[in-house]
Parts: sequence; C-alpha cells; structure tokens
Amino acid sequence: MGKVQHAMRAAKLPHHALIPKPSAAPPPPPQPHGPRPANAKRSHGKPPRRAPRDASDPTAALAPVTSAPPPSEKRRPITTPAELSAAIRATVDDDVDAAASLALKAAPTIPLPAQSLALLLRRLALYRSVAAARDLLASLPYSASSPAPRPALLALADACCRRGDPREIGQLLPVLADHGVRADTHIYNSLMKGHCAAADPEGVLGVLRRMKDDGVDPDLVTYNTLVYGLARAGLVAKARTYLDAMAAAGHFPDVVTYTSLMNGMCVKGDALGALRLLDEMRAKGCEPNARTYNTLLMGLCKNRKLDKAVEVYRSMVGASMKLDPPAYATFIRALCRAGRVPDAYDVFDYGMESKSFPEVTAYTELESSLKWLRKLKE
Amino acid sequence: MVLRRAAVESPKKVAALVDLVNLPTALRDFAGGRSQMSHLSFFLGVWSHIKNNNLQDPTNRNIVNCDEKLKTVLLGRSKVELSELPVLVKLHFPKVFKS
Repeated sequence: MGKVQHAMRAAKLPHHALIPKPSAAPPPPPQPHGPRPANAKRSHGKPPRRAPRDASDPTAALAPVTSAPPPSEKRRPITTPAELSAAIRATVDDDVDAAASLALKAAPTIPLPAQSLALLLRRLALYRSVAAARDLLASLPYSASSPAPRPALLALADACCRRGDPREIGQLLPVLADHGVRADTHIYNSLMKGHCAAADPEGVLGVLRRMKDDGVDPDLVTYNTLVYGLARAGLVAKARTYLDAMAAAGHFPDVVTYTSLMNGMCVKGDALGALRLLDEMRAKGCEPNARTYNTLLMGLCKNRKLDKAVEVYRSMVGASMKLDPPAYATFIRALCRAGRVPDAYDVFDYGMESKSFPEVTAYTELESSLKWLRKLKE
Repeated sequence: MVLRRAAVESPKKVAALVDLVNLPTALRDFAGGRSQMSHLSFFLGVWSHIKNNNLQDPTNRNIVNCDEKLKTVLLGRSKVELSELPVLVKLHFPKVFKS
C-alpha cells in the first residue's frame, strides 16, 4: 500500500471518480424516500460490496430508523454492551445511519464497546463522510478527559486513508488531534497521495509543510510520493531538488523515485535528461526495473528520439524484460511512422515471445498502427 | 489517449479475433487441414510461414515474395508489403452480423 506505482495510480483514478458519489449526496435525513436513492447510488458506486444486499435495501429504505430488518430484536431493550454490539453489527450492513442512531440512543447508560465504535466509524467514513464520523464522535460522551478508544480512532484513520480523498483526510486530522491521537506518517502519506491523484502540487507541498510543523518525520514513501506528484505536475526541477535532498535526510532514493522523476522529465520533453538519469541510477547502484525501462522507452518515442529508443529496446531484449502494453504500442507506432515496418514486426514478435501481454493486444496494436500508416500514405 | 487504448480492448473486437471460424476451402490447405481457426491464429500462421521460409526480400525486408502457398491466401499476389499483411488476412474473415 505504500508503493507509488503508476499502474496503481491509473487504477486508482477511475475508482476515485466513483467514490465521492456517496459522500456528494448530502447525508440523507431519515425520511422514507431519502435513503432509497442514496442506497441506489451506493449500490451503483460499490457493486461488489452491495450486491448481496440489494434485495434487502428496499425494505431497509422504507423505515430506516424505527424498524430495521429484524424487528423482533429491536423491541428487546438493549441492556448489555454485548447486545448493543451485536445489534449494531446486525444493522450496520443495511443502514449505517440506523446503526449510528442505535449507538447514540444507548450511549448514556451503556458503554459502547470499542469494536462497535470502530466498525461504525469505519463504515461512516466509507459511505458517508468524515464529517458524519466526527459528529458521531462528538455526540458520544467522549471528551479530552476520557478520550475515545485509540483503536477506534485508528480504524477511522485507516478507512479514511483507504478512500484517499484529500479533503476528507484533511478533516480527519483535527478529529485525531482533538482526541489526543498523534497523526502518523501513514496518514500524511495517504493525504499526499490523495493530492497527487488529484494532480495538485501545491496541496502536496502543503502536506509536507504540515508534516514538518507537526513534527512527523517524512519517510521514504513520503519522499517518493512527493517526487511523483511534483514530477507529474511538471515541476521537474523542484522534484529534482527533493531527490537530492532525500539522501541528506537519510532516505536514499530508490527505483521508484527515479522512475517517477524520469516520467516527469519525459512528459516535459526532456528525454535525453531521462537517459542521463538512467546512467546516474546505475552509478548509484539502483537497478532499473521493467517499469523504468518502459517509461524511458515511451518517453523517448513520444519525444521522437527513435534511435535512442531502439537502443533502450535492445538493452531490454538483452535483459529479457517484459514490455508494457502502452510502451509497446507507442514504440510500434513510432517505428511505423519512421517507415521501419519490418522492425515493427520484430518488436511484435518479441512481444509475443516474451508473453508480456495477450496476443490480441499485440496484434491489434500492430494492425491499428499499420492502418494508420496507410491512411497517412494516401 | 489512454481512453482510446482502453476502447480497443472492447469484447466484441476481441471476440472477432479469437473466435473459431469455419475456414473457407482456399485457406484450409494453408492451415494444414484444420477446418476451424481464429483470425488471430491464422495471421500468426501466415507470419510464421513467412519467417520460417525466409520469404522476405533481403534488400528490402518490407516486401515479401510470396510462394505458391502464400499466393493462394494472399489473393494471388506475388509481392506483398508487410504493411498490407494484416489487411489482406482480414479480408478472409468478414464481419459476421448477428441477425
């Protein structure tokens, strides 16, 4: 979870587009038709989780607060913490609000067990927003003197981080501070990653400043995320300074850092600089991995440095590295554009041979570039 | 650009390449007596035939001098350009319209 990888980023990004939907809907007041569209939206946004419960959603939506699916359980007064936790667990899957209100109603007399609180907070943070979780915490009789149980807060932090929305995590930090839990590196890293995914370099730098203010030491993951975010946003020189500063702080730049910087340089158009970075990597002892080579290949092709790209390709073949589909496609297209069709076929063969991707992909890319080439000729 | 590439992997197009299709007689002897083949495997067969028999013109590797077997498949042409290869093979696998 701490690794900054491009594929994961790309996979995370569309997920982002779905996730804010449930929180964008205002926390539905317990009206009969209120939760129903929220439930429908929720089921749309998180199909694997909601699918088995779709059948029960309409029944839950009808009367959210007063009678949750097993009405007989409700009538029994809840006296012990164990019963409370069981009841909460039973309802939290169907309707988080009902479970939260259960906790609230029982609060004065019965101590809420830590696991239920953790579960509630986690679900609230996932399906509603951090504000809702914070409200729950505020309404329960916790204060600075008798702080909320630490595992519950940590569960909240974890759920928030998994979601990755920078605003949410930003709201989380004061909540934690209120309850005396010190935000650690992991939370700040997730916050930074959220800003990266939102392509927000000032946000990323702001997080770094906050970390320093709070006295939390940035670690390797922080630096990697920092370099990645800055490089992606185009602030390559700044990323470079951080790369140099990393070693001074005691965290040595690794393959991931160099790859992110290389990516940024290629996007900016400085492909030769990226090549020099490769030499520097080797000199420092970081072995470039498949992702590095693919990034480099793609960057060189996009910047029209085909000869260098062929050199990199030869070294890849020599090291029998697998090709990445986008790098492969760009390379083939660049070769066809230069008119070197037999070389394109060779790359096609190598792609098939090394089994880097399914044959269908290899073939379709080849075919589309050739088609495009013919259109160009006409 | 990223979205366009994702669109290429649409299931219909992938299926069109990979489904087994009854081969017309002309292609059958090339395929070594098999009666069904997918578009993709046929293309790979043609390409490996070219490579194994060194049919590419040594001076200009872009051009392929077809031998008798290839001529039956590639519309009787004696010289074919590598860039035309997928197109010619595609002609044998027309799109089947689901009615």
